[in-house]
Amino acid sequence: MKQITLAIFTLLLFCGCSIKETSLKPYNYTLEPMLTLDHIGNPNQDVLKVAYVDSPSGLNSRAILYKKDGATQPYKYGTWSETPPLKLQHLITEALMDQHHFGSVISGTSMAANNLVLEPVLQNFEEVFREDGTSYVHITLRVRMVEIKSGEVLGSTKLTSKKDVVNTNGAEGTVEAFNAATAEIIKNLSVWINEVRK
Amino acid sequence: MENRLSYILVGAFVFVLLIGGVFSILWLGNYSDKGTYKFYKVATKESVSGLNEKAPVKLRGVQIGEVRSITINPKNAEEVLVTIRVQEDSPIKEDTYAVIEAQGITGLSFIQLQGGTNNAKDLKTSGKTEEYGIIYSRPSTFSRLDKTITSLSSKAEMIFERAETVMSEKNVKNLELIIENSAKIAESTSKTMANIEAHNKEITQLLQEAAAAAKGIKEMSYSFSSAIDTTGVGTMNKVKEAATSVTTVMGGLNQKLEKGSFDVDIVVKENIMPLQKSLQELQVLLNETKDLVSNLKDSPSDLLFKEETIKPAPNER
Repeated sequence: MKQITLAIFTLLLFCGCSIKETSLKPYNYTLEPMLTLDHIGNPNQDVLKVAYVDSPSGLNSRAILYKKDGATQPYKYGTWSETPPLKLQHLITEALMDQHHFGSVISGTSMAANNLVLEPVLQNFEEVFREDGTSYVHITLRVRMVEIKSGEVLGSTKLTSKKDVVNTNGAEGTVEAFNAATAEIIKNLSVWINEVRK
Repeated sequence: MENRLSYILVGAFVFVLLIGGVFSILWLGNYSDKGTYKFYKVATKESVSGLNEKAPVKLRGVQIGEVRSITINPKNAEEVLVTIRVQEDSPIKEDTYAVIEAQGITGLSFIQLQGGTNNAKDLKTSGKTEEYGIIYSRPSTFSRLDKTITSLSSKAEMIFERAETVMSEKNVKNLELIIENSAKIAESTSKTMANIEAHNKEITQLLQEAAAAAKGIKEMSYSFSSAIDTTGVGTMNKVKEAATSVTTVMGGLNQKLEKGSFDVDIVVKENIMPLQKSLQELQVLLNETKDLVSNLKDSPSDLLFKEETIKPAPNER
């Protein structure tokens, strides 16, 4: 009797598995903006550390987020390879390093001594769907430049970028729009940072 | 009938009547200088207003003479000299003093002579104006009263001023506050006393326990003292050896620090920086776990059957 009962339960379990929808594994996308930064002003000998990008917990995940009818939800078949705050930190560091305005630009985990810190706060990083079905990506980044020795805030600004999603082929088109918006944000950041620390 | 009245007789009668009237007036006015008198000068620094010539001079209430003249002392502008005439047999002594007093409510004054004991010598005087004996005056009752009232009124005025200052609006408010606070304190004290009384038994018990504890500590101190005497020396030697070891270790550590082979800053950075990255990843993991747990909470069967699926985005169809 026991053996029959066990067999029935096993059969039911496998039946459940068999009717389960076969889900596709989501694609991993990487944020890769095409950047060509112009250098403004004279280079200086400051060592700038780009701190970890602070963000709300909702943005600190690998999900590609979109907002529709006021609700924020993740893409089903697409995720980020790194979280947007971490990737943005690397992108900003690399971009400013290539610009050669500062003596050196280091990441938050570097052991080098620095005299300036750039503190970014990511406020928006999502795709927003309009009522007509079209969408745009929205990025808002607030940054502060702080001198470590005195603790003085040298400057603060809010950078915003909105780009329409042209390619509607799933998350791929959204990632393209995010790349364009990120490129604009970093470009504006480099212009601002050159003016703050001439 | 012929009038036989003699005009000479009538004239003589009227003349005699007139002479008699004049004498009567002189007698009544006591203008005559009959009797023998002696003269004194009363020296006073008070005002003599109301004191006139012919004002009576009394000795212990008995009129013995009169005022003859009142002048300012030419040698002392602050002093008034009143020349009086008293009967020859009046006992004016060296300790006799004069007081100018008022006669009722008329505003007139008279000189009252007081003092003058039997043992004292007679006050010498002379018939010459310059050598009259001088009787010094003392403040009259009215003067003393006046001074006293003036002093009292000035003091009262000062007191009222101070009282007004003390009872200012601000101070009155403060006083009200003080009284209010005093009332609260009194109430609080009353409650505290009630509590103390209520806890009196507990306090007594506590004191007994404290006494027992003190006794215990005393005994323990004796034990401790004896323990130190017996084993303390050895322990202290061991402590000394341990301190020497610590000094050696710290010396070595100090040498390493000076050489730079042991930099706390480097050690911290080397360990903390990688940890920071791990913490960031852990944070991401926590967020994802939180989402997972939240989904499972909504639909626990997902753990086996995964019925709840993520809805595709509008452009993922």
